[in-house]
Amino acid sequence: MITIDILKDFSATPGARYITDGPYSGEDFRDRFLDGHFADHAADYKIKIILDGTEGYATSFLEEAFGGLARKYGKQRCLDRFEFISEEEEFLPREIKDYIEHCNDKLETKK
Amino acid sequence: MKLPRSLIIGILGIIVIVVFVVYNAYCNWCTVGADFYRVRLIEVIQLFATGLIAIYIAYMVGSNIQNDQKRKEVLIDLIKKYNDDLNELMDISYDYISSPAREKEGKIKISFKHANMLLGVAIKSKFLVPRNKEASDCLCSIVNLFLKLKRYVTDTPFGQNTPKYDDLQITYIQTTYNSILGKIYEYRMHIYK
Repeated sequence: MITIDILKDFSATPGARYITDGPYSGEDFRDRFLDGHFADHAADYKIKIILDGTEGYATSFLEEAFGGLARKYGKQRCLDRFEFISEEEEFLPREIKDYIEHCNDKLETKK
Repeated sequence: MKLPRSLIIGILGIIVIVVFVVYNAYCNWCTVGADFYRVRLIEVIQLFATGLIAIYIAYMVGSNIQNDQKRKEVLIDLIKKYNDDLNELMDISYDYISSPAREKEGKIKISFKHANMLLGVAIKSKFLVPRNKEASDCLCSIVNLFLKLKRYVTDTPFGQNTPKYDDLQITYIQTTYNSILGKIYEYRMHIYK
């Protein structure tokens, strides 16, 4: 198992969706911290993501980082390998799993 | 455990009556014959025991009602704090939608985080009002609506260089916010049911 602590390893102020939107985006996080662990299709070790300590997460960040990963490598593979830890926000792990599960859905307002 | 004053007075009152009756029974002090007391002595003891049980039950019921009320007040305070935070969060969000700025994004994320934390505490405190399914269901609806609201506010275009929310997205934000307010009101009513 490997552990990624977003506060220590990435940023205390995670940004928006794309790199073009500004610093510490979901796309940037996915490229630098997540993609590498999924490139090898045989790899099945767990990835623990510690979410606490930051100023909070925008949906665009979470959706692009984790939903984007699920679009690339498959929902089930992502759900099986991630373990989300949040002592501060009770519903954050559930929220991220929801983005993974519905990674191919468009936001209701965009339909 | 500190006993309340009324309970102590009640017990003392019963003791005084019993002492008075038993004293009369043995000293033949009163006009009623000693036989009268001798026959009824066991009943006096039964009366004493019944009185004690009655006082104990009244005390326990009163204390339970008070505790129940305090538990409800804790939840109501919590949901009131959440309501205040939500209102503040919506003010910042509307402000951001009408005139976006980078510094407002941080405030919005922090506000969502705080509100999320409060809801987490409320969910963990559900045990304070056991057997209240309506209140529990209402709280779950508030959580679901809140997560929807977060998505409507902080999904793209949030954080873009020149974010522009379309009318439909703004309508969804307003509708979801109003639904949460309605559910909060409903939750309060269920708590006091």
